Amino acid sequence: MMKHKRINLIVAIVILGILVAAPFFLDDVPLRLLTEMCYMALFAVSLNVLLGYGGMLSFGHSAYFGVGAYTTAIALLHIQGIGLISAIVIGGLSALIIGAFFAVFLIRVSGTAFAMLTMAIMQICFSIALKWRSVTGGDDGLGGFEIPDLYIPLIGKIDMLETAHIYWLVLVIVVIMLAVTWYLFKTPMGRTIILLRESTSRASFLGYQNTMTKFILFMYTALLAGVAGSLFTVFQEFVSTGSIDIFRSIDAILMTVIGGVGTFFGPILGAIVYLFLQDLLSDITDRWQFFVGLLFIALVMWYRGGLMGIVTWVKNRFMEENHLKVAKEK
Amino acid sequence: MSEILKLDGVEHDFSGLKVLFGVNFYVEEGERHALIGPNGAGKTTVFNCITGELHPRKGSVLYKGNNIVGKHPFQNARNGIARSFQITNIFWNLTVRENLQSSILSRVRRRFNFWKRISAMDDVNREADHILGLLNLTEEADTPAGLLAYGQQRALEIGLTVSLKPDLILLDEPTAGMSKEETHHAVRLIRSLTEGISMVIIEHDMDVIFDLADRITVLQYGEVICSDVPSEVRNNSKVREAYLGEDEEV
Repeated sequence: MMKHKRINLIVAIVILGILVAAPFFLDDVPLRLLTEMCYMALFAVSLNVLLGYGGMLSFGHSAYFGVGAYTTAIALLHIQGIGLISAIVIGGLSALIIGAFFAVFLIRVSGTAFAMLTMAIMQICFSIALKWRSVTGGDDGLGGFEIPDLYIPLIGKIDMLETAHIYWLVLVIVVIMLAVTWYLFKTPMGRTIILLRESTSRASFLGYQNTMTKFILFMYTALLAGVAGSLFTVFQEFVSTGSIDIFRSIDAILMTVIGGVGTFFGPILGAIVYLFLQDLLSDITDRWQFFVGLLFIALVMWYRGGLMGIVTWVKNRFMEENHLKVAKEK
Repeated sequence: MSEILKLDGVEHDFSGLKVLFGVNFYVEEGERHALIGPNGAGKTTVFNCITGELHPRKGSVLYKGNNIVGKHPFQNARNGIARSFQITNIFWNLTVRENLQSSILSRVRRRFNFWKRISAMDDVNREADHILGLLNLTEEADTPAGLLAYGQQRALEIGLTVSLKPDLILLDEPTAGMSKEETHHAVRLIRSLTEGISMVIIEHDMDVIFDLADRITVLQYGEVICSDVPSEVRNNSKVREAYLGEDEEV
């Protein structure tokens, strides 16, 4: 047991080390892809917190991603001398507030009605982004803002002109948010969220107030999605309705299901594989979605655990064989 | 002795179909009270009216002297009313230990604690281990509840209920679907786990009832036809009619 934990820790440190060092051995283009993988992984994890842990399917998760993306863009455009971190915090908090507002309606429904309502909410946000031209730029999108320098005490100013610098910023924020989420599901709060998925009636007869749990869950998951959206804006230096439409919601669902619903690292793996395939296949064919769709169907039909399920299976097999070897030697 | 639970003229209907016609009975503190009656008599509906799952149209449910009609199940659970379900209702994908932890965490009011890991909460884990032992599920502690044998799942169902350390415990057919052997084991388990706790139990197995209950309430077509000690209930003519049919010589 302790040995497994140590191996996991070593693997985690090695992966983190490689990620931190990535700009030293990757060119600009793959580094940009890696940055995109980072914030989309955060977005997919945010959806998975709702779907895999809370047991609720949302088709409208891009609403919160979009709110984060747009408010960060608007803040950078209109607030003179705003700091970079402040702009990202504003993006995340706006998503949280919008999440709290829609939660008032969403806590009242479950199952299919919940999925439909999330889609309707996403459409409302999408329409606002499309029609409120004076603020959002409509289908022209919003650009022309500068990404301010990042000021870190004791280190000084870091400009955001180089891809590597933006990459590190995105990486650090995403890793922090993911670490917090990972820890959350070790605590009673995380368990309380999982009980929603398992049995709301049992939970309520044990004294759990499910509506309150849902309220907290919706706000938290909106915050994660909003920060992912903010990072998207900082990275792209541009935001359009593409950040808030249904396709972005579906991207997150596909990433989560391909990677493995309800596992912590599944959606992260899903985001990496999904974006990698998109990058690889779109060079060859315009119909890259067709192949991603095939992968999706194959996994849903034959392997519900997703890619993470396969990884765990291989790992267990490997570990078990080791155990057997040890036993034989004894 | 004082009454921990008192139902007074409880009426309920499902969109016009009346199922409870003024149910009256009381449970004394520390008493094991059985609720029996033919299928469709309204036993589970009575449970739902007590726990707050349903709000009775008329009448009052007094718990420790306070009317609890209109309270939500989670509020009643926090006030010490716990129930088990006829159809097993446990957290299927969580391990047995995690199931019990969830119940204990609720009782010690750490439902929304987000700063401390559950694995570092020694008091909770010690108690979970203790209950695992009582349920005879120590070896299955890390098995997902969905993979347990049926009898073990029923035991866990009761385990979740008693982990709340309730003042009043409602058991809805705890031995449903069990063999004679399993039933015997379950009754012993219930006896040991609920020592001194007021209890209402719905049950069909007469052996279990007469073995366990201090007093019995008989429900028929949504009405209480008798509420008394077992020996009196056994000899009550209305009860005999309800169970054996009219004009039958016994």
